[in-house]
Amino acid sequence: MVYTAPIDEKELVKQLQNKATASQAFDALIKKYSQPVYWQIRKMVMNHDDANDLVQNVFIKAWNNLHNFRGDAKLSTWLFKIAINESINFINKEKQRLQLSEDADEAFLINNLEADDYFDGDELQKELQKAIAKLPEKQRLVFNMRYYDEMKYEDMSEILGTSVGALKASYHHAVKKVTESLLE
Amino acid sequence: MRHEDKLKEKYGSDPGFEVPDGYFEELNVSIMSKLPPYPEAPRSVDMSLWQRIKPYAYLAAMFAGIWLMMNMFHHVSSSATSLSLENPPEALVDMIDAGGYDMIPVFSEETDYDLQKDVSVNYDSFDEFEDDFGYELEPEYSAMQVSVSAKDSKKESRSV
Repeated sequence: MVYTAPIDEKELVKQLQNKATASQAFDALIKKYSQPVYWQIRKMVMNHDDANDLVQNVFIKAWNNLHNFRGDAKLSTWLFKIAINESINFINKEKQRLQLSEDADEAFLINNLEADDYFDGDELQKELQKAIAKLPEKQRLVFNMRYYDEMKYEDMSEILGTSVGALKASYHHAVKKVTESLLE
Repeated sequence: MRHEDKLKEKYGSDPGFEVPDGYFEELNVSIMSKLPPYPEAPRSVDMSLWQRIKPYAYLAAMFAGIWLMMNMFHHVSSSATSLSLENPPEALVDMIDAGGYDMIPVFSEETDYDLQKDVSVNYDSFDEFEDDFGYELEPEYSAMQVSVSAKDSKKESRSV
């Protein structure tokens, strides 16, 4: 029997929570969300190899916690939340491993970007990435979601657990800081 | 023009990241191959009636203990403050009523006459008595005369 992935998210959730259909439904879930989740992580850690490890961890964690997903939020929101937590934890652990200070995100990310074999951007794109790396963690997240993905503030609010007003202010500050940093 | 528009105009909205060819197809296969067996949701453990009510029973016992302690404290503090000669402890009253103890008179029943007799037996005068005991008697005693008969009875009692 050929499995057909459900279009309706509720139906997909139902299938994910049924042992008999979970595996095929999860395959459909990966096909649907692996790219957006990967790009979100990649923009956070600025390196393909790290993003590759992290995106796999995200889906394995999601699989292990299927029984905890109650369907209150969207699947994409749930996956993005896991992806963001994984990315932040990874950066913090790497800073500890490399004995960098707490506020050394910039140094770590620029180093990661320089070491990335799959960065194909020009000098301007690299400059912009370096300016983004200078932003505080939360502003960096907001900037990436809004500037590159044009994500709605309402969706960002659900993922980050922050009010729309605070996110707008955060993005405004982030854009201003990036612009100033590039003009230096 | 807004800052965002200026940025997009100059730097674009492509971060410049690439992935190896066919990466996402391989990624899907790779993730599926690493999945552990379907995770069973943790089963709720059947609890006995006692296990279910245990926290409430402990809570009730705790409050009962506190109530008893408060009651005991109240009882002890109220009985301690009301103790007086007019209101002796019940245990003491019971013992006295049972006749276990003889009542000791608090006040001497010695009369003026007895005092005069005692002094006259042992002393020649009240002045001598006052010197011996180091305090002054009431004026009415000072004025009393020690009788000879009393002194004689003293000598008699000594010879006996």
